[in-house]
Amino acid sequence: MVMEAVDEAKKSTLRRQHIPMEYVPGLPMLSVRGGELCMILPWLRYRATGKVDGTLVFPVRYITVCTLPERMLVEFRDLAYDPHFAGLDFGRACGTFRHEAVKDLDRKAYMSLRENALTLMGRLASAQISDSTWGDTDEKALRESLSRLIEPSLSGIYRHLEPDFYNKYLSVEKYLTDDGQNKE
Amino acid sequence: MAKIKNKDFLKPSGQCSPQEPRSTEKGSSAPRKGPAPVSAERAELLRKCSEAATALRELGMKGPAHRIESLMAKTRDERFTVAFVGEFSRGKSTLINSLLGADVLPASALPTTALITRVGYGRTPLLITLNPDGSREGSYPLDKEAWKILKIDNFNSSGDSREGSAAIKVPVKWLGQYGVILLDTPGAGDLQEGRMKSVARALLASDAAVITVDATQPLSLSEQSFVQQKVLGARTPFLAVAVTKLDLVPLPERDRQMDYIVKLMRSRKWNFPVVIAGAGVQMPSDKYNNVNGSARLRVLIEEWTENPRREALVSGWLAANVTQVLDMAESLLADRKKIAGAKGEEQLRLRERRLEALAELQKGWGELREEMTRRCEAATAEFDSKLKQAAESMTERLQHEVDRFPEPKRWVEKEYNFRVRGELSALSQALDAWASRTVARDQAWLNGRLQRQFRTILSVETGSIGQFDDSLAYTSGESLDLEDLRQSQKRANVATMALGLGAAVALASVGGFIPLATMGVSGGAGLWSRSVFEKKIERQREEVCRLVAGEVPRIIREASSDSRSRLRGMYAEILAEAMRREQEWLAMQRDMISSERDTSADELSAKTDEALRRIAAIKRAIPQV
Repeated sequence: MVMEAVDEAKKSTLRRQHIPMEYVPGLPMLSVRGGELCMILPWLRYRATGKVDGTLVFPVRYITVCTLPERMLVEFRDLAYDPHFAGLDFGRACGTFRHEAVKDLDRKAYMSLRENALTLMGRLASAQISDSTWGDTDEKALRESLSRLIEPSLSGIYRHLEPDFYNKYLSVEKYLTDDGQNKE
Repeated sequence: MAKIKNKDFLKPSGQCSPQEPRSTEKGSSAPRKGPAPVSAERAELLRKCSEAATALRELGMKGPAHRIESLMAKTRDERFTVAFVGEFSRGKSTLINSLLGADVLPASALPTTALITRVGYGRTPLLITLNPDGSREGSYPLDKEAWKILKIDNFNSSGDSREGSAAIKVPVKWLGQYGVILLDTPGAGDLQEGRMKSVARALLASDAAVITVDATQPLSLSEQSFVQQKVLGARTPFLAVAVTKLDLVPLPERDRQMDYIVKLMRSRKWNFPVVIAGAGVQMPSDKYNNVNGSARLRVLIEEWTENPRREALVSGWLAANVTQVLDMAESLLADRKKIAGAKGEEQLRLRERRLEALAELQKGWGELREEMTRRCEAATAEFDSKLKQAAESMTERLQHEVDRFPEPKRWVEKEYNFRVRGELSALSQALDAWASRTVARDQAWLNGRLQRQFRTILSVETGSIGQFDDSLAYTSGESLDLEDLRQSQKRANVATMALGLGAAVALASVGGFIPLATMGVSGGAGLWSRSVFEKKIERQREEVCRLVAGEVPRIIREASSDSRSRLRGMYAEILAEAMRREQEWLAMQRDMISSERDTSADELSAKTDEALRRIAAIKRAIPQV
């Protein structure tokens, strides 16, 4: 459900008209707004420098929010006009890709980890609106994948966008050791 | 829409939604009783700090010991200030009275509060009036006569610019227990600009703000803009909305009115708690039971004071400052050890050199201060130049708009004011962010130098220069006497038609070719009148552009005057702190030199070793707290 919503957002008119081409979707987050299940999709850009693990990561600039499962767009925001991010320089890179936690993954493994995380997130979303099952193992797997995938340099922005989801699934500090390894 | 099964599935179990302040005891709304809450971690940290102060005093380092004691006192005396803000007659004073459980502040249907009033704990009820510089003007027993001092009718209508404040001491225990100060402010919208500025200043210095909203006229446009610009702009850490006068709304409509307020707040993304003020307003359903009553607000304030983030911040501040003092003492002791280890003449020479170096270092402090003053001047100059650039680009943008707008008169009347405010708001935010960055950068530079040269750093909160005061952004556009060209053009069209008809009649009487002559005359007149009006519109445009060019720089200058002085104030605060630290540092040096004089080298060496060991042990213990 989530993966389809992300794919649709990538092809949407809104993306074509309002989000510059170099921006790509970051990690989506689930949120509850007015009693409805929604998906927050952050948009950010990367810039290749030609160095291995030296691709520059820029701050999340736009977010789109849609309801699930209808995928109805309910919000589009340019964070450059959000007073909370007034001090943030969106033109300056805030980190590099790949970060420590995913350094051991090649492109294929990274994409597979991301795909797995989005599938799990889709299952979590389904479990919230239908009777499909969602167990502790799934919860742990989702937390592990997401906390590994999230760019540490963007965690502050993610935390501000959806604190509850961040605290539950993305909080790097909780699930990674200082050198980015998964905690036992 | 598919309905979600569990709306709180993202929240950790046991956490309440932000709209519902947690009750301290299950099933009871009564606020907690007992001593002021100090966490076990903070208590342990204070114990270690006290040990450090005693150890330094025993080593003859009175200055550093005193510094640590004053840091501890500062943490103990730390107050949590809650500002009550809102438009006039929104029941701020009444709400504070209900929190205090007594009619302490004067409240009436007319705007009353004229001064910023700080309500805190005191054994004897007392009213103290303070001058604008914070010095005491007078103190009075707290009775009805004393209230008059706080009332707005005490100030003349010609605009008394008095900007003092008042402090009230009341024997309300929970204020003392939690170290809370309640700040009653004059209402927005009805008062002098000067007083509004002092409200904005008070907000910048507050830990929390409670916005009072009248249920009978909730969140008007001006109120929304006040919250957005003044309250959110001040970046106050904790916020809540108190809905007052809900009892004046008919009983069946109260839930709907609350729904409306909550929905409006959500739509503006104001995700802070809402509380119904009063002693439990009767409601048609139990939907808002958990936020009903001023006691809930009190619980919320108590929770704010105990917020773990705040606790961590205070403990971190204390630990960092005490560690710095110990670092400084350690470096002095290391010097002393070197001297104690030297023999005979070498020891004398080292002592001599140390006195010389002290004079040099004193000069170093002065140089750093001078450099910081220069940086302050540079920042102010940059601020001014940014304002100038902003004024130029804003003028250019507005003039461009005037050029494109078909009717300059209508632009001046309908658009000008609104556009200026919008531009000011955006500029204000950008400059606020720039100022915070600049001051933080300069403080970091100073700290880098201090750390290298004197093993100390300053921790002055850089804060914000606040939002521009757009109440000063008045434009005189409407007073510009421009001819209504739309009406004139209509009249000219009628006249052209009449001329054409007249020509037709005249030509018919002499037997001419009527259609051609009519078209010729009216067409010619039409062309002539169009060209006249185009010229007039062009002249009006020029006039409006001149007005914009003349006014915009003035508006920006006036609206930013407070921010400019606040920017300089931030630097002044850093400089004052640097000067205080310099005095302490020098006193410590002198203490150390004088304590060495009457001690033999061996004794000095043994004492120094022991002192270094003790300080190292205490330092090790402090970060663990």
